[in-house]
Amino acid sequence: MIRFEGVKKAFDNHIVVNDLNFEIKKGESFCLLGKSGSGKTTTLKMINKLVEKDSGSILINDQSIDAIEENSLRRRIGYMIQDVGLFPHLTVEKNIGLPLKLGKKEKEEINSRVQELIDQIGLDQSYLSRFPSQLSGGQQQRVGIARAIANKPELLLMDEPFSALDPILRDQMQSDFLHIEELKGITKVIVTHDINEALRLADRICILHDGEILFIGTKEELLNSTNSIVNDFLGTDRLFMRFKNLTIEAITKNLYSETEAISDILELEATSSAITLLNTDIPFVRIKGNKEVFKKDDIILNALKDQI
Amino acid sequence: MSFVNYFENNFSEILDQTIEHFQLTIVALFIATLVGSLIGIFIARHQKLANPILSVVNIIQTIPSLALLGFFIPILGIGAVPAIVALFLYALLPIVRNTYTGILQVDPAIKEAAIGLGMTKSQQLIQVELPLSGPVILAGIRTASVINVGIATICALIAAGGLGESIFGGISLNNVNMILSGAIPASLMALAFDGLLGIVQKVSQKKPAVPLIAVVSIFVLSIISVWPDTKTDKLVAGFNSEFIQREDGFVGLDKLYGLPLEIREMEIGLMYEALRIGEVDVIDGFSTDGRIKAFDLKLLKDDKGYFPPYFAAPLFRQETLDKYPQLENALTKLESIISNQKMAELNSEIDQSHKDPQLVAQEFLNSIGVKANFIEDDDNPDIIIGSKAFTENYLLAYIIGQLIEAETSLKVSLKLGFGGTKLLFDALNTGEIDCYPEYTGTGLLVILQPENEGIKEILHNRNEVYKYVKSEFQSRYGIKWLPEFGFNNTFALMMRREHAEKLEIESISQLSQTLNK
Repeated sequence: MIRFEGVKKAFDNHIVVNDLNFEIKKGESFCLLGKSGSGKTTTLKMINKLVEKDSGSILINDQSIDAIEENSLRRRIGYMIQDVGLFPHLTVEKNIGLPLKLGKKEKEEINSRVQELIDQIGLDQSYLSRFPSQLSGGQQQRVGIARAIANKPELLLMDEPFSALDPILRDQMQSDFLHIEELKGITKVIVTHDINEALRLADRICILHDGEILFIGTKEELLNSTNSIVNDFLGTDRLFMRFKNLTIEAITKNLYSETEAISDILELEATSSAITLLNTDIPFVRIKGNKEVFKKDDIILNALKDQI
Repeated sequence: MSFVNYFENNFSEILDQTIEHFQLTIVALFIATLVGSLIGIFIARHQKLANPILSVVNIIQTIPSLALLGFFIPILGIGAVPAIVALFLYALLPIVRNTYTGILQVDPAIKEAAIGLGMTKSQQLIQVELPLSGPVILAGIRTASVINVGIATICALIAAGGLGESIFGGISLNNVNMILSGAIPASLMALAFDGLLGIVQKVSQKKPAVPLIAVVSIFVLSIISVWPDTKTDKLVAGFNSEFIQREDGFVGLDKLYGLPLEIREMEIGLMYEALRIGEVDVIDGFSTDGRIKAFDLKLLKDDKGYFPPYFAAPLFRQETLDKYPQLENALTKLESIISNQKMAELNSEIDQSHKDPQLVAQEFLNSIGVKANFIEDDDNPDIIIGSKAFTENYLLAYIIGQLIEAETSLKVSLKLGFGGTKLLFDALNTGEIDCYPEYTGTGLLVILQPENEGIKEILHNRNEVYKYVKSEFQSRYGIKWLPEFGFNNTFALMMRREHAEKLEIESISQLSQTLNK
């Protein structure tokens, strides 16, 4: 769907993005992960020409974006930023309908589409006449999403979409995001500095560092990567990341017949130095997919650690 | 007469002035809003130009309004047009500045969202930036409206009408009711503008101001369309408010000669220029003015002897003279020393040759054998000398001051340019100043204002008038008239020489005949 070919960008002789080559597949959720200054936002904004690239080419459906007028390009692409950027002088209805109005859609069409969207983001009809200042942070985010997809874009660009929210709300929004039906078919490019967010939202992750690609692949590939730079990037959180993506089964073992059964899926709490299993008094555990069964105590868990 | 009575008696005139005042203000404000917000938008888009342009607009704001109006006379003449241009310029700063800051303060996230949605520049401006900066821009328009209502009063001095006519007329006639009948409607108008725009501002926070602006535009355009046409075939006179209002000014003159002139009210210092460039045809000048020669003006002969004598003399507090007895002796040097012609020459040196009045004063004193020097500012002066706000009076104040410093060891300080006889006289009477140069006719008719009939007998006799004011001032105020300088700076009607010659007008009677043909 999107292909970067040798894309470069420098601001005042400082290279921000250097020779990017990658492809984003249709319908996938693609995360650009990196620290601040890594070039991830610049990379995103080059797609809808908010930032003009210096050289190379970016192709959308095999068509170079250079050949598309910037405003018509932007109207085809959904765009969402950290601060949402809802227009404070317009109601929720007007905010959501604005991209449609810019696309010169009929009034009735706009109305029915706005109704459809407000349902999808799980807000009541009565919210339509409210102003953004009368909404909570999470509601503003949802309206922002509705506005971004109002035109039914093939592509949605999101720049740190949930970073401004508190952790609980962020978790909620990420979950809502995954459940909005219409979003599932759209190709999404998400910029984030939060590896948890990337792991949760992305099908594939691209780690950028100093304008270059450190890693590109699925989250499983990321967690299992032996690349030392990726290791550095993940740092001490790595253990936690990996355990979080494991499913631990509690095992009931019949010692006589040597048969066993899965009795529970355990919640796991892991920090960089210790792992604790919660909500069980069953003594045997096993990593899903593994044969070996361990006794549930810290020593065994340490052994588990070595296993991974 | 109480204020209410005055107001009732003059209601239609006050109403006319109020309407004129409103028209001047709203037209200038409307144009300033259009132009100012365009400039504001422009410099928000081209930020390199923001500082230079804001500085220029700022500098305009610091030009004294009367100076700006005077500057416009050669270019735009007198009346509503230069007044509106001046008001427009004063209204620019708050509107430009607020539009600029209003647009810049729009949240960058909102701007980015607008761009990201694929809005064009003009869509961003109209749908996002202007509505969001609307309240700030309106605050600027609000400030501008209050500034304009205030400055519009001064426009009365270039024949633009408005409530300034009552205010300045009242000041020159010392008529408090008249001042109030101009000042109160002006203040109310300022408050009304402020309040009304305040409401618009509040509403616009919820709703875009576009429809409101449209309504206002239609309103203003309709006002412009009913703007009175001021062209006339009659001879046009430019008189200052004092002359127009006073019984012994134009009112009496008209009774005596019969002069159906089209009258424009103007500031005294600006009349000559207006006459020179043909904006007006007759003015009430002063017979010793330096510009008579320079502008080639013709003094019309007062053949029925209407104008009273205006012989200038230093006016001192008796208290001051008692404290410094050497003063009176020193000032005898100035007795009958300046002729009409000499005074006109001295005035011309300042007005036309642009010499420093201090220097002219010094050279004059040197020529009569006084070793005079420039007066330096002194923190602890013995004598404070005041003056009215025109060349001759400045010069006389310098002459008196330099003479005192040359002939005595007293230190002099100057407080020049009081805006009216009454203000200056009150300053003298309360001891704020010790001395100023006054004219006998003014002393009699403006300050004393005697109501007895006998005064008419002496009104045209130079010596009788001097004697009368001298004794009355002494007994009423404890203020002494020292001997006269010698020249008579009376009122005189004047015209452009070629114009007067073409119409074969030499005297006021001939002017009357021409007008009544």
